Formats: sequence, structure tokens, C-alpha cells
Amino acid sequence: MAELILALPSKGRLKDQCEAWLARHGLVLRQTGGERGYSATLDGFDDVQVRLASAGDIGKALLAGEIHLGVTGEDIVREASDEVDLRLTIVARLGFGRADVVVAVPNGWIDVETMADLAEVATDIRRQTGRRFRIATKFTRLTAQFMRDHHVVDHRIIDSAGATEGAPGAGIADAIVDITTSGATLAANALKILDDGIILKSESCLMRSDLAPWSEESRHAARRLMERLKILSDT
Amino acid sequence: MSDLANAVTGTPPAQAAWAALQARGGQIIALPTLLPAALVLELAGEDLRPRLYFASGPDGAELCLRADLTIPAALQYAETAPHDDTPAAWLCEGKVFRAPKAGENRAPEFIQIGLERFGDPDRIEADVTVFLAAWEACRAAGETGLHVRLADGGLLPRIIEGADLPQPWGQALSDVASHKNALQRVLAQAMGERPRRQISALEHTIADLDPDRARDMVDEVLSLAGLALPGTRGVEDVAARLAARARRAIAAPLPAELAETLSRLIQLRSVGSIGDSLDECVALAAKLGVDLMDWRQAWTLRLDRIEQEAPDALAQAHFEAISPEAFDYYDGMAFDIARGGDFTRPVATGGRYDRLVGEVSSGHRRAKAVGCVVRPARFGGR
Repeated sequence: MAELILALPSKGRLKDQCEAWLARHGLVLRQTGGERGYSATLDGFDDVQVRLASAGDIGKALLAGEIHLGVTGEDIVREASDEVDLRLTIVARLGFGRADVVVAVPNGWIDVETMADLAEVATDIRRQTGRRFRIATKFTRLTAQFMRDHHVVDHRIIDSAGATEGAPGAGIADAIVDITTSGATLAANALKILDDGIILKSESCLMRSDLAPWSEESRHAARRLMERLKILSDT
Repeated sequence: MSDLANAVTGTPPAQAAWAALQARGGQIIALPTLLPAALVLELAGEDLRPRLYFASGPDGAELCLRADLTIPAALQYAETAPHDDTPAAWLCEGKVFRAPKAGENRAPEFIQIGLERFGDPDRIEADVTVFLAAWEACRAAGETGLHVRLADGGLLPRIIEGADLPQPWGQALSDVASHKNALQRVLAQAMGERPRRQISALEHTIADLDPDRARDMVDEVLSLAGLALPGTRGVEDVAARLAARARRAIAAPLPAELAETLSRLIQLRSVGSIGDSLDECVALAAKLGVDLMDWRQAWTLRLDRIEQEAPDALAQAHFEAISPEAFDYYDGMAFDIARGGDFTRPVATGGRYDRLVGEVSSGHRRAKAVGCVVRPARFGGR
């Protein structure tokens, strides 16, 4: 029986980057059940069970205490709960999976550079049209909090499952909140980021669930793993 | 008389409060529990989102559980009233659903009982009836040590729109007069409290142009720079705001005396008698060139009528120009009734919401309305 459950991204670029990070520390990930299997082992760590899952599911499992350790994006856990700091600890920032969560508006809004401008435009739109300024995003929680902090009162969040950057062009929203790495996708869609519109500078992180059942054995396994990964930690 | 349907609320104080509301007249009405989420957010604002419980319909419709009784009542009135001016007095009771804030120790669902009145020809009498219903409900429930806070959501918009203020501040303040947050922000700007922003050559030029030429200039800039304007805002909107923003950046601050008068109005919060506070509003408005005599008379009438029917109701009472916690949709008289003056936990709240029926019906129905709710779960100082 494994003493420590570690969850890693199950596919794509993030999975590759995770494997490369492990490999740099001499750790080899072996998927049980072949390439499509959803569990794995780490050579030399018999007491660690590796689960392969989507970044979103890893975030939820960390917040719920269903796993001990996991690698996922900070944006994902911050969006999933407003109690992140009570439920988990960011053990290490891994330097990959970088993405900024930003507020972007049509680049023709040459009268809007800051969140203060946005607050005014939102009020203007409400007064002139009777409806609220619309922001498309999948980050509804982060957006609502950020707008509150910047006193943008007259807005509505439109839940957007994908292709958020196209929402203003399609007439679905006035502005968006989305992740960006280089800004190229935003620019291609004639959008610009506001000067003070960076909500979160996110990257992939190794996180420890503070709600997981931490036995002496799981702590021991975690300590060994951290030592190998050269992470200073009080786990 | 009809008893409260819900066994949970069937405590003697809750039953007594419900009976007191009914004694002020009205028809008992059942309101929908599930509402279109988009409409509720549009009306109440995104601040309410973290408090709402959402549900999906089998057809994919996004719904939410009601977080108050006023919005479903306004919706139902807008859908069922045969004419705009059809008077109605509705007694409503039932659970509302609002997630507790972090650290707030209460159940996510609780009972409200309330009275909502629509289309009354005599609005002042309707205000009085609704206030008295709420007051009598609290008293019937055995509540003591009650304090009343009165406010008027229509006061500042009226003063600012009527005031003789120098441009561009008059326009800027008038644009946000019914939004208390935005109003404070613009006033701070007008008083020169915030650092001035540097403005570009384009903004300098555009500040002096008429709207058509300003629009043409912005249009040219956008096409030269290859910038796009999808969505709601057109070239004229961007040009107008660019010009307004530039004029505000160049303009002299609002004269100190005017700014001071406005600030005092916004922050007006009496500790003395209500009459003194109302007189102070009249005097401050007069300094801005606005005559509030009819407004003062209307309040005198309300207060006299309340005094007649409930002589002790205003023994512990004060007036504020803006009610800090009230929903933005209260646009006239507003009140809270709280034990020991703890207005973060009122046992009853209410007010006039003349624009809400219009907003929920996209302007098809415009009946003016006033209503109140009582929260039995807070009886007994809980």
C-alpha cells in the first residue's frame, strides 16, 4: 500500500515538462498499464503512488485532501476555491506552464488603459444601454474578486468554456479575462492587456494538500521525495 | 388570516410578524424559487454571484435560487399585471438562498416574509404603509430596542442633476449620481485628490473638438494604427470618453466650497433628530442652487403619518443621505430596522424601487413599487 499519493498531469506539454523535471533529478516515471494508463510508479519510491490526471482534477483533489501532493497550475486552484491558502501549500514553483491571467479589451479602446478606466466605461455602458458591461471568462471567481478590488461595479461575467479571445469579436462580450503566455493570441484577436490588468502570474507548482491524511509514513515518503527533488520543505 | 406555510418558521414570533404584515392588507402570493441566473445578476450585480446557488435546467438553461423576494416579486408583477398602473399589494413568504460570507455563521437558506406594493397612486402613503408593516411585524414578534435608519436613494441624483456645477464636473457627477461607489470616485477626481494623469497630444486636441470632429479624428487614428472596435462601443463612444477624460484632466478642480457641500451631503449621517438632518439636506442643496422644499414636505408628511400610527417608531431613528448597505435598486425612501442599532444585521429592511419593474421587463411595465422584508431568523437578537 502506497503511503503517499502524488498526482501529475496525464497528457500534453505539461506531462512532458513534468517528466523532464523528474528526469533532471534522476527520477523515471513508469506508467502502469502502458501509455494510456492513469497510474504510475517512480523507481526507488515504492511508497509513492503516482496518479495521472487532468490539471483541473489535480487541483480539485488537492483542495479536497484526496491526494497528498500534486502538480498543477496556480491559476487552476485559485479559480477553484477562495480558501486555497487554508487548504494547500505551494511547495515549489516549477518554472514551466507559465501563464498570466489578464484583463483584455479591444485594442481600439484607446481611451482605456487602466482598471480605473474600465470601471468608468462599465458605468457608462450601464447608464447608456441599461445593461451591464460583459466580461467573458472561464475564471469567474478570480474575475469577480479582481473586479471587486478595482471597484468595477457594473459588470456581468459571461461564462466562457473556450475560444474566449473571440468573444468580443463575436459580440458575446465587451472584454475578456483569459490566460496568455506571449500575448500573441490576444493581439491576433485585436485585444490589448490593461496596464494594471494582470490578475495572476501563474505557473505549474508542486503543491501539498494540507487536508490530506498525513501519517508518519506519508510524511517520511514526502521528505525523501523532496530531498531527491532538491526542494527545501518542512513536510 | 393565513398561517405561515413553513413549519420551520412557525414559531410564535414569526407567526405574529406574519399576522402583523397581513393586517396592513394584501394578497398572499407564491413567488418562483428558481429564477433565470442572467437576469438576477444583471439586476443585482456580480457582487451577489459568490452568494448565489446556481442550477442547470434539463434544457441547459442557467438558473439560480432566489436570493431575495423583491426580484421575483418584481418579475412576477411585470409578467402578470394587465396594465402598467394596476395597483397590487403582495404578501410574500418563503425561503431565500444566500451563501454565508467567509466567517459568517448562519444557514445558507433562511425565511423572509415581506410586503411588496406596486402601482400605488399615492406613493407617500404607500411608503408609510410599507414602513409601518415592517415596524409592526417586528414589534408583534416581541422585538425591543429597535433603531430605525432612514435614507433616500433619490436624493443625491436629484441634487446633482439639478445643481449648478461647473463643467466638466457637473456632467461627470450627474452621469454617476445614482451609483454610490462611482459617485465617490468621480467626486475624489473633481476635488483633485487623485494624481493628475498626463494626457497625450491627441487628447489635448480632442478635448476642444465638437463630437463629430472628435469622432472623425478617432476614426482616423484607429484606421491608421489598424486598431479594431468590436462589440458595444462605437467610435463615437470612444471619442466622447476620450474627450471627457481629457477635459477632466485639464479642468480646474471643483471649487472647494461646492466639493465640500457635496461631500457633506454624501456623508450626511445624523445623530440628532431626523428633522434636523432633513433641514441640513435642504440647506446644503440650496447652496448648490437646488430647491428641495417639495422633497422636505414629502418627508414631513411621511414622518407625521408614521408618528400618528406608531408614535414610538421614530424614538430611536436617524437619517442618512445614502444607505451604505442598500441595494442600488432602492431609488427613493429606504429604511432598516435593527436591534440596538446594529445595521449590519437588520431584522427588517425596505424601500422604494421605482425603476426595478421597468428593468426586469425591458421597459414593458413601469409600475413604481415599494416593499419590505422581515427576517424572523434574526428575532431575539440571533
